[in-house]
Amino acid sequence: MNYDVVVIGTELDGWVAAARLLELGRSVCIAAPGEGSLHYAPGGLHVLGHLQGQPVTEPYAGISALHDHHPYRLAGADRMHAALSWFDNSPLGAGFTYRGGQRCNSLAVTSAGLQLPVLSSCDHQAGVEQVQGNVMTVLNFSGHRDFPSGLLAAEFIRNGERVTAIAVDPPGARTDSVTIANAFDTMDDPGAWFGDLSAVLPGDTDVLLVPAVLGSKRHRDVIAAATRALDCTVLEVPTLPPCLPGIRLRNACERYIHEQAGTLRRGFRVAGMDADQDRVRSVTGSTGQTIDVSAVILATGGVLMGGLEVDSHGKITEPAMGLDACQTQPLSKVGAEQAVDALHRAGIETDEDFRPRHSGSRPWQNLHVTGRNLAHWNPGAEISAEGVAIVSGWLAAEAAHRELGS
Amino acid sequence: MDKSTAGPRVVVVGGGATGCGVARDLILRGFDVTLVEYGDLGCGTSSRFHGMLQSGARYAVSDTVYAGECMRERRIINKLAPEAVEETGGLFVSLPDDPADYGDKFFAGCQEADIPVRELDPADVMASEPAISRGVHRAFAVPDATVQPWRLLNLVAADIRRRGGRVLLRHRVTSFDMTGGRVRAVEVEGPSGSLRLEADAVVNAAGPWSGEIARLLGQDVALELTKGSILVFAHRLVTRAINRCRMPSSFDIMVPTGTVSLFGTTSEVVDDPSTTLVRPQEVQDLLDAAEPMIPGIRDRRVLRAWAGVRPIVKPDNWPSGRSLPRRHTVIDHGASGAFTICGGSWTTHRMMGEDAGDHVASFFGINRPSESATTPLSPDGGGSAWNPTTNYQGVEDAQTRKRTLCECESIDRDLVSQMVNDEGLKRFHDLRRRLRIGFGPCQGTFCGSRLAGLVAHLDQDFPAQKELEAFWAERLKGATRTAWGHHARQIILSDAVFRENLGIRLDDKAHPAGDDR
Amino acid sequence: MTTTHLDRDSHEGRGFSVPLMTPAMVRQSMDNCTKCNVCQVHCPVAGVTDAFAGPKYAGPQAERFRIIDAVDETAPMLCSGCGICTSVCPNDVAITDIITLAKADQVDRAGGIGLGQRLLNRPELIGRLGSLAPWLANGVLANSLFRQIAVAVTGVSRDAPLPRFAGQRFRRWLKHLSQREGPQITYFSGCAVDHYDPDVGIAAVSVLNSLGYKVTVPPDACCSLPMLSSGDFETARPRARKMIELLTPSAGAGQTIVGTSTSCTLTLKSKYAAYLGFDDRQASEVAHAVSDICGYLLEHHADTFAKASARVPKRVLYHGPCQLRGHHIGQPALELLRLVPGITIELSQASCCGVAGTYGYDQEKRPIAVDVGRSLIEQIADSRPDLVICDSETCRWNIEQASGVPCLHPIQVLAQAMELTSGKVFQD
Ligand SMILES: Cc1cc2nc3c(=O)[nH]c(=O)nc-3n(C[C@H](O)[C@H](O)[C@H](O)COP(=O)(O)OP(=O)(O)OC[C@H]3O[C@@H](n4cnc5c(N)ncnc54)[C@H](O)[C@@H]3O)c2cc1C
Ligand code: SF4
Ligand code: SF4
Repeated sequence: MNYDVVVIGTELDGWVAAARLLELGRSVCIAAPGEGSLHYAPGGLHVLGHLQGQPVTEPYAGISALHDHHPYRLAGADRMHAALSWFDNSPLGAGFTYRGGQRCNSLAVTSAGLQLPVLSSCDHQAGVEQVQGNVMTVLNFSGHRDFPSGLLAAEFIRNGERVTAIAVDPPGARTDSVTIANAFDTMDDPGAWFGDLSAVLPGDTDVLLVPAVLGSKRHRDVIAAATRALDCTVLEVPTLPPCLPGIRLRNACERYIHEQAGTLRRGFRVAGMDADQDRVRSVTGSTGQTIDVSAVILATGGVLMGGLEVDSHGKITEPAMGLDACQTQPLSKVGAEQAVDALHRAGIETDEDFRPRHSGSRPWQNLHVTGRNLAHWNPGAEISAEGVAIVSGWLAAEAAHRELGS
Repeated sequence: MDKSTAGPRVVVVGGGATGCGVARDLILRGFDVTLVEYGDLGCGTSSRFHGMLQSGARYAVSDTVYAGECMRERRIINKLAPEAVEETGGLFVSLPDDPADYGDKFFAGCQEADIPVRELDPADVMASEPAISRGVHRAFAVPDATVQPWRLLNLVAADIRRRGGRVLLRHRVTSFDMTGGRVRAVEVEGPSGSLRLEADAVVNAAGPWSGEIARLLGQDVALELTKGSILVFAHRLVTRAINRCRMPSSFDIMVPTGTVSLFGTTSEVVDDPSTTLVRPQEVQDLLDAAEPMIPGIRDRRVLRAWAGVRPIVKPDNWPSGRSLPRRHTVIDHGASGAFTICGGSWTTHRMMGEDAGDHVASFFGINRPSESATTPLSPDGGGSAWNPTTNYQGVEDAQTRKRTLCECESIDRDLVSQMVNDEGLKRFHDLRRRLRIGFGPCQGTFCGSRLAGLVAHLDQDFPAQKELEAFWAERLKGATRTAWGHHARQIILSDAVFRENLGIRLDDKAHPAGDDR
Repeated sequence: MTTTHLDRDSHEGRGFSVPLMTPAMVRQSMDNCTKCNVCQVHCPVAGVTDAFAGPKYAGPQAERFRIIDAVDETAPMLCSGCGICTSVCPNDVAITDIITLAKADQVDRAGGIGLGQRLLNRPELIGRLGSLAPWLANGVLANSLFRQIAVAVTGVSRDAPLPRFAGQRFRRWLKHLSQREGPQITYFSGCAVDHYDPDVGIAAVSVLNSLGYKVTVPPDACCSLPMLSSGDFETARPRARKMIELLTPSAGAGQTIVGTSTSCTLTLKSKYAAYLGFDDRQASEVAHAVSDICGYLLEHHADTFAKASARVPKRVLYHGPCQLRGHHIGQPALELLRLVPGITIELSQASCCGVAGTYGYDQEKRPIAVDVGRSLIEQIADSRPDLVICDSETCRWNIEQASGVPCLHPIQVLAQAMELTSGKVFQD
């Protein structure tokens, strides 16, 4: 079997690359052994939230302060903007809105009561601006352990906000994020359920903060029904993983790929490739099956998802294609922050089209590397995971498409 | 029950195994006892150790007398506090590199020290311990056990309190009033300022910090501080404590304790008693040394590395190069009423208390023998034997699976609430140590914020946010020492949860030690 | 000129090139778990009931305690063995297998499994009984009174989708089949084809014949999966060994062994090793020789289907069975069906139809199975396809019963696309 492009991995960068290539009329096969890190993502498009420990207001303006080989520097502000705008207008980014204007971050509320700079997010995700100064109620579902509402409330109170925390039984007596979400998805009349809730809701509530578990499919309807029933603003705050906002995005990606007749080879672990000099011709799975390809996009998720492996000597390797990984700092760095930084910054170095080096200064012609696999960035310190994923995935797709010709 | 006015007032400095052993021995002899501890009970070497309640077999050849003492004490502790002891059993295995003649000497030494020893068929041993080397040519079974340090120390502290003694946690001894060459009082500093504790005598049981305390007493105690580092493997690789059948040295024990197993230790002389840093090279050395015992060790997941510092008093004119004696030392600082007790081990901490008690009693001319070996620790005569499956079994029996706050260690949310409400404990490290929260593979990735949510819910004024930050920094500090394989992924997932989801900052400068110490 | 990074072994291009996972390796994989909860999101059983704490809890998490000391637990018992958790885990934890091993321990401790499960575990036995007198068996099972009695005695759910016995039709057809010489291939029919679904076997052999293969069908074909997944390892052990011996001549001769039952082929490929520890040369030779039929066709004959298919003007809904995921090959049937002109394919949004082998037959678990399958049945009801297509037999019976829409194996549609009429495919 042969495909124009094989995308390896179901990270956001992989979904984006596959979606773009399908849109451009290419045949695409996504090969991925397991699921991706969107299951952990709190939702929202984090492009560049922090620089040197300080919050960033204008992410595009901030990129010049990044490492020369940071993925954003490879992309440049214009191409970055093109990629993010594409995402915004694609079915994948449906429901995301800018709150700080197209180029400015706004602040999202976290379940620890802290703030995370985000470029755009779903309109029902709680932002600092919408909640500040309002009378708030924080809702938790009894027995649901993944939403530290006590912390959220305490932190808001410390900041002088007016907050009450309440707990109610979850629908269907389910107690984890996924099953509660399923219960909301299959509920006959969410409006009635929230109607019952109004009995315990403090009367002066302006904003109700709920854990982001109001469904994985029908959440928009559920939130709309809640707003009507309670006559106040209802906003979601992401929970610990599994994180429904990320999972919804993942579901949207998968749905789109299916609709566009993309192929998903789930469980297919790429364990090697055949190449003709600087061109990959096929990839081979751990079961011995091969797929003939014209281009490959490696979106296997870096250290987090096993796209990069670390051995007990502190050496980092790329297991699927055997690419060289660059380690700028030893992993044995003393200090947690430094050690984590070293793990993040290790990765594959590429050119502007996200092609890794083949030999000498020459890049692979039809192989692209994206997202957390890339070197010289740190999503934890920068708060930039989705931004880098979308930018590198989209640009890799563009480059692969160009390369394939007509 | 209050005997506080009965006898002379003694302040014991240090709430590790030694200090707790001393304080309990003294209170049973009728002294008015105050135990002062800088942090939480056992936050020093007494929790940064290998976890073993030694049968003594390890020293059967090198120090037969000490070996016998260990065995005797091990039996006593098990009788006094079965709920803090797990009878894992121990094995001594001869591997191809180990001296051929050691086995016979070992067997004879054990018999001499009255340590029950049995030679086993190596084939049976290898069948029942699938992780260990297939090259075992001799194997012996001995009654090694493990001790849950915080469980035992808290039992001892509760007993001291019950008998009218005081246990001051989070108080640091800063100076002594030695007017007229005699101990008059001890100055301590705590969360709510400084305190003066009137005292007739002081026992310095500050472990590796004993030298510092001795200096405050105007004394010079020559300590050799030896740091030992340990690797924590993610599950029990072995069912019994596995020792190499050779003269005791570094790098030769794998101990199953809690839900994990510990391999150690390195051994290097250090200056700073507070050092807990494990150098990268030590980690490599530990892995290399473990390989012959557990082949393929580098493919196993290691959750973290830690180090403890052994305080040993160097006897005068001790030949350099010879390993220091294991037995403890009591130093009587003349007529001042001050004593220093140092060295020894967790296993022998009760006997050390008895020895110090003898010195203090004779100083005051009191002729009352120690009762610490025979007086039960808890009023109900001790609980039942415990092992970590108890947690899991409890959750299965009660079907509270989705209520566990710490999933890796199967710790129910209600247990935590109880401890917060009943004992007023809110500091995350205190809760962690008592309940084992955050000890498992995820190293706090998920339980950290759940704990913060719960504590903040129970007490809105408690700075749960700051605690959470410090808790995570401390978990990461140990975990990043062993960041390879799936544990590297765990660390990045932890980072994703804390920074990218919760919005918590990670700053090495904000938590330089990241721990109580 | 060519760089190859993969360490290919002697089984190149055919079956697993990674070593078989034994119980020890299965258990050791618990260490890989980062507690990330991805498996919890996708487990179909945990998604519909809190009575099952989910794969993470019952798998790697509980395993750390189990290896310390025996525990009395019910945690693993509600797992259906569908394998979805293992397939979504980003960290290679052999979750399903860890749980199944734990189940077997509990079964051991309880002194064996119940009569009902034992009956379900011997499909070929029911089959043989049935084929003696299919009219009797069918009559009997269609009679709800008898079903009720059976439920009381055996614990088999009275609503379970029991198939209709077909006697030995596939075997009889085979006896009269004359094949041309050609490259040899072995077809593992499985008890489903032998006793209930002869048309699937007929279609499979016909497709293979028309691609030029000479097909061998081993005489006995029960892989013992139901026993394995319910934890009755001791009964399964000698039978599994016999099955390996039966297939050794084919594997030894370098033939590929294809099968139409995704769960049987998965058992032969990896479960004998994972559960029974069979990792000897003979066992791994067989394991590596086995392939899902669509996986094999996609790998070797995609061109034929791309060029030579006849129009199949049908609206179909494809449901990839959960157990297919364990093959690590994606959904080859879907990729093949997309090559057939005229066909309109809608994809199932559900990961599992609920029945998961024999899980949905157990009366205690039946309600859970129905809940799990609900979204699929609703999807079918909404979109009313001409056909549902699914690779796994118990799923097909379940879907057909619950939705009322005929459900076929993809090979039957491919046979139609190749205009092979020897097997009865479906009515236009
Ligand atoms: C790596 C290693 C492995 C070991 N393994 C074993 C083993 O398996 N089995 C065994 O039996 N033994 C073992 N030991 C030995 C055993 O752990 C120690 O002998 C024992 O824990 C020492 O206890 P301690 O109370 O003397 O010291 P510590 O536990 O260090 O207690 C001293 C206490 O004094 C407090 N303190 C210090 N300064 C002040 C101050 N100014 N004011 C108030 N308080 C103060 C400290 O906070 C500390 O809590 C091991 C030791 C090491 C280092
Ligand atoms: S998906 Fe895998 S790593 Fe994640 S919790 Fe489940 S078993 Fe653990
Ligand atoms: S095998 Fe299926 S039912 Fe069992 S735990 Fe895994 S996903 Fe859930």
